[in-house]
Amino acid sequence: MKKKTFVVLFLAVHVLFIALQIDKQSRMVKLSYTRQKKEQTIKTLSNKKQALINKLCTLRNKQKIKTYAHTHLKMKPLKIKQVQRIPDNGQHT
Amino acid sequence: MDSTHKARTTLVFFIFCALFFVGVINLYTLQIKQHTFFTDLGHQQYYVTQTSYPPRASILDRNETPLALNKETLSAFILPRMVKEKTGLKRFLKKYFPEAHERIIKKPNAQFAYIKRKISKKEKKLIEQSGIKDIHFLSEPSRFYPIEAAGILTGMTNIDNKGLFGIELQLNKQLTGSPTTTVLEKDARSGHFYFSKQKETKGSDGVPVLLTIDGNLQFLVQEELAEAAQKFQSTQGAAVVMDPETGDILAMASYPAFNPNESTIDSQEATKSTAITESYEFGSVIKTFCALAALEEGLVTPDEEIDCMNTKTAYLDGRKVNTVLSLGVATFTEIMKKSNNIGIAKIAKRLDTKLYDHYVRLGFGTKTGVPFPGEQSGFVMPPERWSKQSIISLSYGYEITNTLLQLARAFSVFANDGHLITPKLLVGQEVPIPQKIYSTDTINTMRMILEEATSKQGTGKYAAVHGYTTMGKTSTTNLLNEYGQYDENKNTYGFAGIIEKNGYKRVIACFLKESKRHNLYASTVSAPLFERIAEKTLMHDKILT
Repeated sequence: MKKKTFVVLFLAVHVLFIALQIDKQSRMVKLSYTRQKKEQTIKTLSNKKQALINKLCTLRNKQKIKTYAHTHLKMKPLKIKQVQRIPDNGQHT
Repeated sequence: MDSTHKARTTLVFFIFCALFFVGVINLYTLQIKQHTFFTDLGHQQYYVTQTSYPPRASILDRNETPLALNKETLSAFILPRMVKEKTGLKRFLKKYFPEAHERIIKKPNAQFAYIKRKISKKEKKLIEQSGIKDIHFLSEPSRFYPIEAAGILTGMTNIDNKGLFGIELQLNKQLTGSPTTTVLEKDARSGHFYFSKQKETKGSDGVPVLLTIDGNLQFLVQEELAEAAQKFQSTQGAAVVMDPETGDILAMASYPAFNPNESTIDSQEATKSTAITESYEFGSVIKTFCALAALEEGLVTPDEEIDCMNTKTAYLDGRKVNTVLSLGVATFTEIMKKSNNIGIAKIAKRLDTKLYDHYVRLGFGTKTGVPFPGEQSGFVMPPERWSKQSIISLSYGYEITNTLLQLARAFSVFANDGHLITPKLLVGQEVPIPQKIYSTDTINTMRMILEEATSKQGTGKYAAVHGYTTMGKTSTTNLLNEYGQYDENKNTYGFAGIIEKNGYKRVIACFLKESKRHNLYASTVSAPLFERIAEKTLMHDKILT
């Protein structure tokens, strides 16, 4: 192999390695960026989920339900003697 | 080469040598002498240490229904040094946030100043509508309590989301977890993003707390207690529902109560879990344990006739004893049924100092060990400090103070074949193995007596739930006034009992304090309250006839 060819080949291989290294680094940064974006999405979605759970719990507020039942539905508290267990004879569907 | 040219060349050479030397010195200073400083400076620009706190763990009830959750709240702040519209901002703050205005005026050069933490939706809207761009918002974690009635147990967190009282305080460390420290590699333009992340300290998540209480039952009991307290215009009250076999506290209500979701609390009194943190002389209900002790020691039988002197005021050893209902010669069962102080005092005299031992054996004067801040141990007058009155007073619940939880615990021996259990507030709480402290015969006799006390002739007749086995005892007590004397117009009205049906058992203890209405007795105040709580508990647990 001629000396000139060797030098050119040597330099070309090095340039290729450098290019591959740069490509690897940029891919890593890109993937890291994507991961971080996904992490942020997870955080946002978790916050939204928490907010929805809180909203659901607020809607299930027992005091409000009781007030609604008393004032709007005109319901009255039951005494235990008014409640009876229906015998389970397997007839109901 | 002439001498002038040679001299010039030498001069240039030396100038370059000097410059080279300066360069070398400079390099030495930068690279070696100030190496640490510049390395640190570089690190500061490229590496950011970030401490992240895990979300505060939830508090759940026995069915895993949430009692305390997290939510994000907004805080409003300004950067005083970077304010652009000073006049507009000052005018706005003076009008709507005067406290913040004063604070900011005092420190105009601060880097950062809160306007208000945990602002309401209304306040947020107000700030947004003002159009002032110098006011910024910051999201901060805080707590949300879905079942307000459980607030007395969960407690609440402060503005920095740290436990202030209740379980939030008691188990703050467990709920908080520990922070994670990470080092982020980034540059000036990467904003929220980083190139690499390295963990420096690995933290741990908070561990959720599972309470033994049932959120729904807690609400029902709280409602009943509040309704009774309002009806009788009482200043304070409490109620406990407990499973006597496991010791699980299923509900523990207090009156007055507070809303843990409100940032302001009207009174500190409302934040107390009265059933644990307050001890009182509970009066006649303690007769139950005096009777238990006498039966266990074989000093009395249920049918033994005792002369109760047919009077409402008698003198025993020169000491005055008052009772509500006078009785002549009556059986021991009758004495308990009618809650006669004279009869029980006579029995107590037979026990002498053994009465103290029995009270201590039942856990009075000792904390139950329930993991809750501020638990009171109560007090039993020890024999070495007894006066002539002490044995009489101790027989019907004076000179002995206890919490409502201690009372419920002691009552559990009647539902538990004489075993003394340890109350549990946490699922999985380690407790000692229950010890049998009374014989089955004595317990059965006492169960019969307590059942009689809730019969139609008993003082606790309004506590009975038709179709179920009800046992219990009333107590009306005088409270001490500011002069240290018992005031007949200041009372507590208590009831402790058991409701049973086919193996299902619940111990319920409740009391109301200082009614504004006069001439009241526990038989008409706390016995009906017991009955209502028992009914709600039975319906909740679907124990129907």
